[in-house]
Amino acid sequence: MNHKAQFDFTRKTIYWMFAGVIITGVMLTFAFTLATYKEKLLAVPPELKAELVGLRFMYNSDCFAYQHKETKVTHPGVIDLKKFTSAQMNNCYPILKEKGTKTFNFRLKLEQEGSEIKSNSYYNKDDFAIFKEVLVKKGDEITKDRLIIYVQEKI
Amino acid sequence: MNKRGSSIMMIIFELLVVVMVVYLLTSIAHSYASSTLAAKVQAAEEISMMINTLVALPGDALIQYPKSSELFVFTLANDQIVVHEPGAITDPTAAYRFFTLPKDYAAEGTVEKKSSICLEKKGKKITLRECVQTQKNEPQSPI
Repeated sequence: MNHKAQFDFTRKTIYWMFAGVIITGVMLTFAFTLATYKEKLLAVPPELKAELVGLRFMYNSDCFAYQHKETKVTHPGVIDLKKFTSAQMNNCYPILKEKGTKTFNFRLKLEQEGSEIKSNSYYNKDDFAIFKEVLVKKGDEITKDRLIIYVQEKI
Repeated sequence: MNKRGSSIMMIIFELLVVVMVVYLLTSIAHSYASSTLAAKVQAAEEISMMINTLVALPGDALIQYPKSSELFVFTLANDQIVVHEPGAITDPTAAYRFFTLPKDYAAEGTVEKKSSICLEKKGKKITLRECVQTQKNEPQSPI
């Protein structure tokens, strides 16, 4: 191999080293762009997902819905004020601390009553709120109230 | 090696690189653009939303997933639903969706390539299973 051929071969080798890096970058960018586009197309509005998760707070007796002691009949939409505690919130929506920032967290407030509880990874970042008309059972009394579900998305 | 030999070798190498790049870009585009990937993600998302809705129900319920489920394997574990293609041990494009169940609740079940799948809530247990046909083309008492 003469000097010119050697120079050509070396030059092309260096060229392909750089080209290899650039081509890899282009392919990764292309894949990332397509993945992002697909995610956008298939995205479900977080308000809908949070609303479906939040239904349990009003309708499930393992959360805050009132359940008659003797008949065991659950009254959907009636909040039992005795259950409206942080401990019950942790039973109803038990998220692990280490996973807590990757999912929805909730702050529940009964507007008239003034009571407020939070899920265990709620860091007061209200992304949006859901409003629900409910009844509140306090002792023998049942009063109208509004449940405000503040939602914290991923942090 | 003379100059001509080395330049022919470089041309062959360049052609191979071009063919490989075109093939890789096409296969990446095809894998993302295929409808099965979108269908898997959509099915996982919908089933996780159905589970959240079932959790909110005070009583027992049985609901049928209203879309065709013949192409995939659905695996429901305690805090996630996985939708993947049958046969493959690990499907790199499997769709995962996570959910949070109340304490003492459980979710389980695997369904593979069945025409219709149902989610059943009995007490504190949610089960994913094939819909049992009571009459032709009718699922067993869906709500």
